Amino acid sequence: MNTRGDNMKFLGYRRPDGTVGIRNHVLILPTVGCANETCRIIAQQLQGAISLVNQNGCGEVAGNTKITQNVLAGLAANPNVYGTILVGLGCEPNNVNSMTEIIAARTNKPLKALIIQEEGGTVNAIRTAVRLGQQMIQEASSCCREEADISELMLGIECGGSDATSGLAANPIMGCVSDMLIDLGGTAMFSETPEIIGAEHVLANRAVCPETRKRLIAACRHCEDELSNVGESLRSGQPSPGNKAGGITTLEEKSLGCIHKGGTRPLMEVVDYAQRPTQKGLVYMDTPGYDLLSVTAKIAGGCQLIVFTTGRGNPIGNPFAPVLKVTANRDLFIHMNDNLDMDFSAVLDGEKTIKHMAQDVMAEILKVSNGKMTKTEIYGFGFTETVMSRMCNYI
Amino acid sequence: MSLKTNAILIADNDDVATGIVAFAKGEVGRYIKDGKIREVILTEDIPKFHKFAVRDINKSEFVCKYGEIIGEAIADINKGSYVHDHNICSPKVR
Repeated sequence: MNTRGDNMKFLGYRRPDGTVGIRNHVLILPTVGCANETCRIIAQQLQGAISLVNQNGCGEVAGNTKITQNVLAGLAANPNVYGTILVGLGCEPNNVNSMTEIIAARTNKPLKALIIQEEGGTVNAIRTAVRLGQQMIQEASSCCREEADISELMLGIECGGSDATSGLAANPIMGCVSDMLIDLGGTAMFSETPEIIGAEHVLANRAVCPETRKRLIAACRHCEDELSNVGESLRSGQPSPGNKAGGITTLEEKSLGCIHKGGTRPLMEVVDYAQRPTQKGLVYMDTPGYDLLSVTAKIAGGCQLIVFTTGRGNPIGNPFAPVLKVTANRDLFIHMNDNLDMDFSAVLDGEKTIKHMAQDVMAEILKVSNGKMTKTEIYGFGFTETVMSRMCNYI
Repeated sequence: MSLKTNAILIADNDDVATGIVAFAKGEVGRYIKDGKIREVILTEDIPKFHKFAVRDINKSEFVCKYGEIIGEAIADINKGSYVHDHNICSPKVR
């Protein structure tokens, strides 16, 4: 394999909205927390169905309802989803009718809906939904994978449970992967605003236009303001004593280690939390640093695949997208092997260059896109692991 | 004698390399620059995953890692010396 573009094709599922999925799930989507259990039972009954735990949909201020709707619609529109069965309770503000409209505005993929109160309770709703789901899974499983160019991929890059090896090798390797994918016409997305603060000027200097630059700086200021409103600060006490003991001297150094996973290409666009980019190339999404939440947001933004770098070890997965777990910490790779897919430690040992390891990652990305399962998928970790951002408490 | 590298220089123009082992004073740090193995005699003990200077750095000079400025020298730093918060700080706004 090389990175000039030869053989950089994968077999994916072409959707009617023009996107290409690397998985072929039917989504059982609760519009409100009250429908979660019903959806869990429906999804358990259907081979090939996924669901999620939705804490929201009721008792929310308008701003939070909008976040809920954006995330749910983004997840339903994710290319890895064949179609969606919406399950609502019937009296929630984020009801089935409004969610149907919002999802239909983003994608023309199959969409069915039912309401627990109208069906006559949980058992009747499950019966209706399981039959709808059975038909949808028959359709979904009739789809064949077709050749697609790697430029159709939107890769989400995440780091969590970091240690010194993350900034030294794993994130630089992923930065190189990001550059390679972008040079082939694809999209790489990274996020986690609290973790770029201190090095945001470096990223801002790569912005393709003044508007994008302004948008990035504004996201950082907004994050700092939100924290100062509750008496917290990102800068005081950073780097932490643990970071310093681990060898990190300044906040700039810490944040550079983090943004290195975004490579070196121009920053084409800064998107809001859970929004789908309009540009290809390098995209930054404004999210908090909480891994479950930022992974969910990137998948709602359209990422078909997440590569997750870790040094201390992290077990999370996601029902919508494969999460490929990588580490440059050899001891961790052995110690938490059930949670890890790739070992980057040969780069630290000088046995392999960052570029060669990045080519291995590109090859693995193609395999996973073609259907090879990651450990999180094989073990079923991440079956319901989705988290949404909030702007204030419930009402 | 093994010629394996024991340190990493992330960008070729970086002023500091990071040891992937703990070094004792007098040991040799080996890292790759421009595709070739380079050697530096370390003048101090350096903990695992901490940094050492790969060139002489004057007080007030910027210090680069990742190809970017991570700090500013608050003392003269000799090649092979330990680099941490005793001799660099966040770059001051000028």
